[in-house]
Amino acid sequence: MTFATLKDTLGREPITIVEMDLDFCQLTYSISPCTAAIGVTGSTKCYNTFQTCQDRENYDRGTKTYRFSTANANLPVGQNLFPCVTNVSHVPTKIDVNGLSVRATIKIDMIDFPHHDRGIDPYTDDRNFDPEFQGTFWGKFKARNPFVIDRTIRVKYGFIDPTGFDTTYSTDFEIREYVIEKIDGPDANGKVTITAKDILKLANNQKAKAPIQSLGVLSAGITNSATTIGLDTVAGYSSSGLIRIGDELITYTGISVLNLTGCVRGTNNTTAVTHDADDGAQLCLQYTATPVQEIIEDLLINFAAVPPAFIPITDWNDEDFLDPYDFTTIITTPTGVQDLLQELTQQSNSNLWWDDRDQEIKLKAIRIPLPNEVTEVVNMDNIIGKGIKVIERRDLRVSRVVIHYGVFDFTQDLMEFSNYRKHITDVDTDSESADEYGSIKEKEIFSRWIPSDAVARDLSTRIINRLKNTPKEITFTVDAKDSGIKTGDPIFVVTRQVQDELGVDKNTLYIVTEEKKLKEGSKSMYKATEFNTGVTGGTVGLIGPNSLLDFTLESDANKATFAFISNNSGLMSDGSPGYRIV
Amino acid sequence: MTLTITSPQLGSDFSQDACRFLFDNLFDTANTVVASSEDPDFPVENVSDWLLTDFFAPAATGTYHITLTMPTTTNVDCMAFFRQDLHLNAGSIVLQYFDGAVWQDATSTILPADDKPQIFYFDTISASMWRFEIDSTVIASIGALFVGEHMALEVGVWGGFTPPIFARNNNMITSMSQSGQFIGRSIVSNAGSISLTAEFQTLGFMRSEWLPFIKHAELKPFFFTWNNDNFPLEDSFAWLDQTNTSASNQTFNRMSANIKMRVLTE
Repeated sequence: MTFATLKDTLGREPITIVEMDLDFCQLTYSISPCTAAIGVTGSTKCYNTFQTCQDRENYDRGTKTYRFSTANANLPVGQNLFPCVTNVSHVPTKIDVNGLSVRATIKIDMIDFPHHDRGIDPYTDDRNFDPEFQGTFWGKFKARNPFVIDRTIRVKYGFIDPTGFDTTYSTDFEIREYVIEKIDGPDANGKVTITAKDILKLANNQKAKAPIQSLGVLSAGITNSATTIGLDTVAGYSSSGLIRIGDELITYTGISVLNLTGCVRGTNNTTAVTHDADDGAQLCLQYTATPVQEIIEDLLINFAAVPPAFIPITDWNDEDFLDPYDFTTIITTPTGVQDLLQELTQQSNSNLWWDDRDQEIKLKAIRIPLPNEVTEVVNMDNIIGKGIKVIERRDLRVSRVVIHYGVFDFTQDLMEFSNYRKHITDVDTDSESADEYGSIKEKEIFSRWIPSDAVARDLSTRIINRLKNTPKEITFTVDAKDSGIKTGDPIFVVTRQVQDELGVDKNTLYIVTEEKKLKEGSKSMYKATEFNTGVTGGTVGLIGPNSLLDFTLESDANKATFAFISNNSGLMSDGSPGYRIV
Repeated sequence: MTLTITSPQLGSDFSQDACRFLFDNLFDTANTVVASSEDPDFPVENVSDWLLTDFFAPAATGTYHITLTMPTTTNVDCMAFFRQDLHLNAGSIVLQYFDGAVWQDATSTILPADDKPQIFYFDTISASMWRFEIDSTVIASIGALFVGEHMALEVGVWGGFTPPIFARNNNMITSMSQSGQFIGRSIVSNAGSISLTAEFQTLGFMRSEWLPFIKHAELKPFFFTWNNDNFPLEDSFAWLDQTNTSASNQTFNRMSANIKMRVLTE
């Protein structure tokens, strides 16, 4: 049976599997090419880990997968599972309305135990001690495997299949992948805690910067008109490009030995000045009319070392609502990639998050979902008990947007008003009026990326349309059988906690911002933010192709995707609300 | 006048020898234990370490043997196994002994129908070499294997004892909707929990039989049959669930002890 079938089964038996892929040498001790030998390189055999290796020149790094599980009396036969997981605590990915998501963190508690080393140590027969009575599993494990940072860990939520255990650990499991941050313990109570974060952790400001810090310094002082600049090293410099020395930007067209040639001094509104020997020459990062998704891809792959397999660039390119956002900028100093991603998502009105179920990084424009994209309806028949809460997110409301763009000098303060040529202010006067909220809620953006007035106004319009009315945030819990909803999904929620003016439970559109397993295999908690369309009444649809038939003749799928002309009363021929262009 | 009280009149519902414990495994005292086929990631040591989280598996399918060579002639009257998947592909297992000339069957060929704990008793046989002959068309795993002699209480269990199959102890997690409907349930299986009182055992039995069992049970699990007379198929894999395992004197020069156990019956 598959995971989807098992989660719907009454009396399902949840099981959580934790898999760690750690380094493990593929050679055999003292067998060529391994030159280690007892009495020569060490007094005992290694444990096939780098830490214990006695012939590191020939160390052949492979991977060994270790599996742990929650305790259950019905564990499968024939599987090497250590049932020592006592708790899995999940701080989920949280989509932030301002763009970049909050990282998902997972903490896995385990209990230590005595272990005979079989299945762990390849040479148990050659030891002169009994490992079952010396040390503990985690004590020995950590000493042999200290290098765990950024290695892969997978948490697999599943169920014990009564028709036969899934020994591939895939079909019957919902798999979530992370990178290990640390392993603490064992403490005095034998508790071990593994902390891991989602793959976007690699983009943390401390780990990833763009551009990378350049190593070159001037080999000699230069005048303000020198067109050839000598460096002590050209390692890491592109064959042509833009560098920053002090507050001056300089383009160059070639590299000859250790010299940057064809230099044009004082470009991009900077001033050519003299520079001294040993002054640093920082290679700059430039983007010119580059689609935002390509910039994000470049930052993640080339500066944060995120494996390309996690970036579905085809899906990103299909996000039509990102089309207006082709950006231009110069980044003159190493800047945290996380900060840059935050700017990019905020200024392209999009969300970027790690989808730990699909195991890929999602980039989606914040836009009104089409009717055919909203498939889940949550109501009193599937919300559990009293686990529902609705709050007003007044902090999210925005009534006016101020955008500063058109940077004058990229070497100067980018939070300084005077460093920007252009400023726009977009105001929703209705929501600021005394008849509505009667107050100003301003969002100010200093943008090094936005190239034009059209892009700035597109951004401000989308923000105001979405946030001019205070959105609700709803938190609810569902049974595992209804846990197909994922972070980022649009859903309708109908609950007596949100009523219309007639007292009828109101069918309200939300975007799921957070999903958390409350009890693995049993209950899941969701948090979702109301999605205001910015218009009252009507149905959303796209401008359709010429090939569409009349409304009455078209398929339900096309009616849910494209807009059709309504009658003068704003209704379609079947009585449904007409479409509105937004 | 002398009043003699013997079981079952002492209060036990069942006869002597009905309540049995298997703990003194020949694997622990054998000179050698050799598997004729062995997957190095699933070595034969895994089958006798009393852990159900590691397994023995052969390197190839077909017929293979796990052979025990004892230091001296050894008495055996039972064998047991638990957590195996032979039953998934009509695999079989039989215990054999070497009579000095050929291998003889101590049990009939067993085709497990499931992976419940199973114990097989037979008349005592003495031999210095024992082996399990296992046959399977696919690679099959075994978690726990036992061969040796059983220890039986002189007086069986008393009224009020919960047979292991009824000692259900599973956690149920139920979901009910806002509208008050039952919408889902998860089960987490736990080992059953029982309490056994060994009443009116003789002073000699407690010293020669019960005390070695307790010393083993303080460290490791064991196999357990609560009533071999009437329910010979209700076998369990069990372990102590307490720290106080003391025994005390009673009247009539007898002793009693109470132990709490966790049991697996399936």
